[in-house]
Formats: sequence, C-alpha cells, structure tokens
Amino acid sequence: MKRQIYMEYRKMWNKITTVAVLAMCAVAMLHLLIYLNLQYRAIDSGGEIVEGLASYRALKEASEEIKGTMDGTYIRELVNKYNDSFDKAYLEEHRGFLGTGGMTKFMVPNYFINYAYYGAYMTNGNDKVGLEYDFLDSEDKFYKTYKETVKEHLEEIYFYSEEQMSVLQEKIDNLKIPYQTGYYQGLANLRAWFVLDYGLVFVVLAFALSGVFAKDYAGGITELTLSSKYGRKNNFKVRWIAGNLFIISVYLIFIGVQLTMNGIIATLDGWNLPAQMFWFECLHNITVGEGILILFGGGLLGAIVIGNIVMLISIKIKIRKMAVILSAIVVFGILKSKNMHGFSKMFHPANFINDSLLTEYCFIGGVALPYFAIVIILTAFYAAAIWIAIKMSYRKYYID
Amino acid sequence: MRVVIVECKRIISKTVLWCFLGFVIFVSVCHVKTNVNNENISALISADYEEKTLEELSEDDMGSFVILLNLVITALILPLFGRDSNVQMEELVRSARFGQKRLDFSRILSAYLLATLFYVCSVAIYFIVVMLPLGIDMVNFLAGYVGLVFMVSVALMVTIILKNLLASASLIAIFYVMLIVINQLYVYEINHWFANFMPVRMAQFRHFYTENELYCIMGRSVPCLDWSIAVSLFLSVIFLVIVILVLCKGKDI
Repeated sequence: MKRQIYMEYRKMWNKITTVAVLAMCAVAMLHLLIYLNLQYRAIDSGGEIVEGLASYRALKEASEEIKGTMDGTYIRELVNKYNDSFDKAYLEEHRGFLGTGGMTKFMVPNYFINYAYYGAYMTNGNDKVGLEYDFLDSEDKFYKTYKETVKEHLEEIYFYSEEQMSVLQEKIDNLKIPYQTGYYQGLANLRAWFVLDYGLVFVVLAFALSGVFAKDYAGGITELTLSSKYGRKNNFKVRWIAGNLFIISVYLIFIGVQLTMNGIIATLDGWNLPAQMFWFECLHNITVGEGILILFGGGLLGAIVIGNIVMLISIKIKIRKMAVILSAIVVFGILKSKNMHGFSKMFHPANFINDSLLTEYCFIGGVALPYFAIVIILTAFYAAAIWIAIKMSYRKYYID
Repeated sequence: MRVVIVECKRIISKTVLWCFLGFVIFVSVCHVKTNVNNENISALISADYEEKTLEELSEDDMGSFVILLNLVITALILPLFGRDSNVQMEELVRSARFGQKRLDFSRILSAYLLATLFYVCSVAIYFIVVMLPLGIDMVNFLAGYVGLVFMVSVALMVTIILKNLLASASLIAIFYVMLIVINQLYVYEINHWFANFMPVRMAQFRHFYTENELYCIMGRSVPCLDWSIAVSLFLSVIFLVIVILVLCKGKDI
C-alpha cells in the first residue's frame, strides 16, 4: 500500500502542478522582495533614515539598545531614552512616518505600553508611541493597568458574559509578567505576508487535485484501475491519502518560501519574545514563535479542508476540466466570503489563519476552549464528512 | 476566414454560450440589487436623489464586473492554443492543408474577435440591466476593453509556450490573484510603474478620475488613463509579437 501511495503521489507532480507551484513561489517571492523594499524605512542607531531592504538590518541593530525585560527599571529608562532620542524628535516632525511603513526601534515596547491605554482602539501611528502616562510610575501599576485593559478589550469586542469573563480573568491573572521585549519585525512581516498570500495555496490545490478522481485523465481513474483486485476500495483510499500528502507538501513549500525570504530579508529574530508583544490581548503564555507556528498549523488545516473539497468535486464531476472550473469557482467564493464577523467566522476554512486562533475563546459550559482547538475539531469534522462523501461516491463510480 | 469561423465555433458551444449569458445576467442583477438597495428606480434618477453620485453608481460595481469578465473571457479562449491531452487532434490538424501559418493566424484572430464579441455583448447586457437609467460612459468601456486585450495576449503567449491548457490556466489564475493582492495594497510606486497598466487596476475606473495621477513623458504631462491604455496596448503588441515568433520558430524546427 505504501508503494501505491508513493506512486499516486508522484503522479500528482505533473506539468500542471509544477507550473502552478512554481508560479505560487514566484509570486510570493516577488511580493516580498518588492513590497518590503519599497514600503519600509527605518531610523537606525545613528539617527539616519535607511530605506529598502537594508532598513530591517538597521532596525535590528538599533533594537539591541531596547532589548530587555520590561520591569520597573527598564520602563523608567525607556521613558528617558525615548524622550531624549532622535526618533521622538523625528516623529514629531514627520507626522505620518509610522503609519506609512516607517519603523523605529521604540515601536515594539512603546506600542505595548500604549495598548495599556488605548486597549481595543490601539492602532499603529505616530500618536501611539508616546510615553506620557501616569501608570508608568511603577511596574505594578503598569501591569495592573495592562491587565485591566485586556479585560475591557475582551468584554468590549468579544461580548463574553460575566461568567465567561470570570473564567478569562483567571487566565489574565496567570499571565507571566514582566515581559521581554526586543526586535521581531521579520516575524511580523512573515505573519502579514503569510496571511496575504495564503489564497495562492488554494488556487494551486484547485488545479492540482481536480484530476485525482477524473475519468478523462490518464492519471485519474481508468478501466484498469477499477478492474484490478483492489481497484475500487483500495485505490480510492490510496488516492485520498496521496492527495492529502500532496496538500501538506504544497503547503510546506509555501511556508518554506515565506520563512526563507523573510529570514533572509529581516531575519526571524524575536522568536522567543512573549506573544503579548504581538497579540496584545492573547492570554496564552506562549512565545511569538509558538504563536506563528499555531497560525501555520491553522493554515495547514484550512488547506487540508480545501484540498479535500477539491477532491470531492473531482469524484462527483469526474471530468477534469469541469472539476477545475468548479473548484476555481468554489475557491474564489471561499476567499471572497472570508470577511465575516462573530463566532461563525471560525467555521470558514480561509479563517483558520486568523489571529482569533490565539486571542478568542469558545465556551462549552464553563470551559474556555481556545479557537485553535476548535479549528482542529472543525477540520477533523470537515475531513470526515468529505471522506464519507467520497467513499459513498466511489462505490458507485463508473467510467461509462 | 472560414478557418476563423471554425475556430470560433470550436469555442462557442451552446453550453458555453448559455453559461456565459447566465453569468453576465446573474452578476448584472446582483449589482442592480446592490446599487439600488431596494430603492425605486424612479427615485434613483430623480433630481432629489442624494445617496450616491453618478460616478460612484457607475464605477463601483462595473469595476468588479469587468475584472470577473476579463478572467472568464481569458479562460474561454485558452483552448485555442492550449493542448488537451485527451483530444489527440493537434498532430492531425497540423498536418492538414491550412494547418500551419493560416491556422495560427486564424487562431490568433479568433482569440481577439471572440474576446471583443464576448466583451461587447456582456457590457451591453450589463448596461441594459444596470446602467440604462444612468447613462453610458465610453471611456470606462475602452479602459476595460484594453485590459481584456492585454489578458488575451498574455493568455495566447502562455498557452503557446506551455502547450498545456490547464497549466496555462493555473498560471493565469495565479497571475490574476497576484494582481488582486497588489490592488489591495496601495503602494504608489508599484501602482504607478506596474499596476496601472494591468487589467485589475484598469478596471477600477474611479482612480482615473479622483487620484489625478500624471506621467511625465518627454516633457509632457500625460493623464494616467491615456498612458495606461497606451502602455497596456503596447505590452499586448509585444506579447503578440512573442506569440508570432514562437509559432514561426516552431515551424522552422
């Protein structure tokens, strides 16, 4: 059976798949190279403005000065450092700098501090890096304000009930403070471009998997397949397994391109900073790197659901070209309809890469289930349902 | 001419025609509901109507319609040069009397004729259903058409080089997704030097009128709309030349 799976998997790597995967990689790389070069500039440690791809290395070097643990001493020093810095004067003179791709070493700690004031209304921009706050007088006062802000944020945006909030309050109280801060711009770019280009994986799967169960394609179902001893049951199962392996391969190629390009351009430093530096209202005691890995996991699960939908279309339609057209329409519809709100958005496979995986909870009784757990359950449910539908179809699969 | 008609008939089957017509009418009706938003047509065209401007009503949804239309028409003309491995007719067709230069020329001409026919008919239906109370803007029609010509030229080039229908289709689909992502991220340099000449941004007609973008060409200020149309047409001609060169090189071997 392993040999069969390998042969079916190898059949999937044909000219169409190769062209689609190469195009996906080329588009992902071009997007990164062009946008990260054109859009961003940084203030380096010498007070110079560095533009283009070099800005990330300059920002990383400058950020060595602000690396540390955000305890009381650090916060007081940060306030003095920022008030005496070239960056502050520059930002006061260039009002739109941070909101138009500008970067400064003070972004990470200052945005985190400003979140404690602005809460759910926090954005980026020059007016969100100031440090004139009373709650910065002491470490306890600051983290108390931060925790209260997180609580208000969760109440305001996610509409949890009082009982639910009391469960979340325990999690808020268990947050491991004080937090480390530093540089993570490469990871921020990685997350942003992973989300933006994620739809490319769906397009590749729509073209590559539509012929898996087609009867008019040499690599699909033929009379020889159906007439062999294990032709029907075994071969269909083998194709389904090979299809899922293929989905994982394509997705790993996509992730590989994103990791490589972002690692080369801006490095992947900051992997071990607390997730709260990036997702302010996250209640899990994990790092930024672990958070990104969870998003990647969600992306893989979303790709598996979409790939299985394409395979179901393939076995139902049986004609490759028609399956491609229908798969493309379904993928287009899925990508277009992903901007939903509320709990229902997490049923949507394109939203399995949403930040909600790390910041939202679903309550079952008094138990708070994080959304990444819900995504795993949903994927298992979707995959099982689609597998049953495929199984029912191959029992009645006829060439003529 | 007969070969052109035969090639056109190969693409336009009854199923394709009905599906295409259904798609155009469906999108037009959806846009009527979005624009009108349950308001009375007579209120919409009355002097007291203040909800949306004429430009907003005419450009909001027509832009997305033209983007979809370009993609669908491009997909429809792919089989002209894209080889289908199940239909082993290419060698037989190439060995026929007119199976070389005349066939290639006819297929190229069919691609542009069909694209023009589909585009004009679709936009006419769209205007009758959605825009007749509000009037017709020929400039938007032209910009959308030039975007379509560009996509047809790209599709011809890709199918002739790759020689595979679905491989070409996947490449064009990913190219389109790339253009859509670029359109969502506003970066002036990318829009100014690349995206403005691409079909997706050319179909977003409003920016031609509201962003006042100019190009300095040989000391003269040229409006974005005019230069976008010119560059897009020029690129289409280059792709067409590549198509002809590849076809001629194929004959020489």
